[in-house]
Amino acid sequence: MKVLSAVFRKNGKFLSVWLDYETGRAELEYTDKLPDRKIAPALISDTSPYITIPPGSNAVPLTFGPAAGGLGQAGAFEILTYGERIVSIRPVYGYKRRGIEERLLNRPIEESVVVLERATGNFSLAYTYALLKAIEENPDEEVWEVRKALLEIERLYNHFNAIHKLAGAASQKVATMHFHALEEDVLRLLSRLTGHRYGFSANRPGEVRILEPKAVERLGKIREEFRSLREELLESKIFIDRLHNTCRLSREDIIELDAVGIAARGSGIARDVRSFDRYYSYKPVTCEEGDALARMMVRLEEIERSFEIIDSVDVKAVRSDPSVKEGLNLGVAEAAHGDVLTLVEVKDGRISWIGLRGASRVNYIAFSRGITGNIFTDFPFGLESFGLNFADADLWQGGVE
Amino acid sequence: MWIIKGLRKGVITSDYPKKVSDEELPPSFPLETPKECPFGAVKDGKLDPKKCLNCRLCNVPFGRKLDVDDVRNPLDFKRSLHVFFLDVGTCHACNREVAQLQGPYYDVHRLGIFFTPTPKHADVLLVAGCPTDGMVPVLKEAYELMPEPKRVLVLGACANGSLCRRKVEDFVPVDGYVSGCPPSPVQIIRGLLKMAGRDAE
Repeated sequence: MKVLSAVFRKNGKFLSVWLDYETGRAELEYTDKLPDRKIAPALISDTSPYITIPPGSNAVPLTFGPAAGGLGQAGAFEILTYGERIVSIRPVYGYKRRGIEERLLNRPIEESVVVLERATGNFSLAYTYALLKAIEENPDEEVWEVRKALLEIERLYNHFNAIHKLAGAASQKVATMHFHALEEDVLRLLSRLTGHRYGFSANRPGEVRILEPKAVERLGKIREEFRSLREELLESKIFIDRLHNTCRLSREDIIELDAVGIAARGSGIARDVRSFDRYYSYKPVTCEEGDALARMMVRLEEIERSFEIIDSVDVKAVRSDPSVKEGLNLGVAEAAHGDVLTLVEVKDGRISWIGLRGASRVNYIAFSRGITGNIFTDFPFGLESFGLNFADADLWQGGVE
Repeated sequence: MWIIKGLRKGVITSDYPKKVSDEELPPSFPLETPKECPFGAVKDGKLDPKKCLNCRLCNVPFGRKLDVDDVRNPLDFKRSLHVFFLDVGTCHACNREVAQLQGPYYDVHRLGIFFTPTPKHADVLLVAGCPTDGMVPVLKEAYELMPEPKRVLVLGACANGSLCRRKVEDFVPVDGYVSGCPPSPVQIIRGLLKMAGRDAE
């Protein structure tokens, strides 16, 4: 089934990317009009309000953010509510539009990669994976094996973070702190391994930089600890009850909203870039229920899989000399929250145009659909179960907006 | 069962500022001045640590370095410090590092540093990211709302004017800078302690 993955503005037209998650086939389409899909306006950051107050209703609109203590980041939600139930909600994009993407154009690819890493820090390894996949011709298998392991390490710390946030929302203080510590353990491992806590500068064109390959052995201890924590966590009935039936998305919602990543897999739809990525042989983890609990269960299982994948890779520094592909090319990578997509145009060895789409852009809309009808106290459980952030959602969609 | 697990894990909290372990040392930093920097960190043959992205493209020797902050106008506080964290357009890495300060490894509560959800209770405004159009008014308002004496501590290369066109000091008076991309938790603690008039080492 084809999914509308991204829409960019290019040369005064809309350039939409359709992706088939079963075969991995991608289609690019130039149109004058936005494609007729529910998600299309959000993909090019249409700010027209989705919220209209029905006449005679007592519901009041409320803006949550952009400097709210609870969100911890610059971003906002417009909520229509009676004070308890969320009648309607939409994310407000734009508070994080930094224009950083213009800075990666027309400079040596090495420098472009450095800038791209700073587009979304906690998914930087996924973004560089996607970009380099799009532009490297005759790639070196060994380099990509190591990049794959790094991508899985990034998934580990992001998944730990999501579980830590979920436990925090349920005031499971001890579990929260244990998972917080696990996240830091992985960051320290990455710091030893690549010289940077978030793996910046590890993926270079044609090269992957590993400073201390031995550091990867620490994963054994982290894995052991995670397993015993997982057992304890699932025993807590209070915690499970809060997640159960919260922010529910049906299969139909996912299909209608073209949702990706953890959101789709939690509702039983196996959309996972790793299933057709040539460097993986991976069968996606899915769960049928579609609620916050299902998404957490998918994460727990994926953490196990990540450990296995990293184990199978010999992590070491590798260098190769691939050439750069000219023209318009698409690269996709499965980040912790969903796939990230880079559409790059290379001219004379430099990037002349780029479109970036993070999974947050799509999945914030899916979250809004799921949380509608829930009450305010369900809000953090719903939000954190997706693991999204606004830096990822507010990327530039190409051209002048 | 959680209690037993906690006991078994032992104390993992950092000894910083008494001493800093190898594990906690921040990512590497250029120890020599490179000839030039594509991101503008070298000006007139001098390295501006505030703007360094730690990208290692310049091929000079790198080492782990802690004292790359610059706090000019500390408060005369000896006990507790209340901090309001404001993200004005980060890539989310700074947010994660600030969140780690409240985790078990760094636990800044032991040092009398507390995060508040409102600028009205804050002594220090901790700002990260390049100020975007949407966040500039929010930044100014947060600064106005803070009671005297107030200070602004800026985190990371973006907020110090690398990569982006704008920097935080264009909009509010800034009293201290912490370098790094993102600055590591110990660097942030060091900046905050200095801001509170307490010597880090």
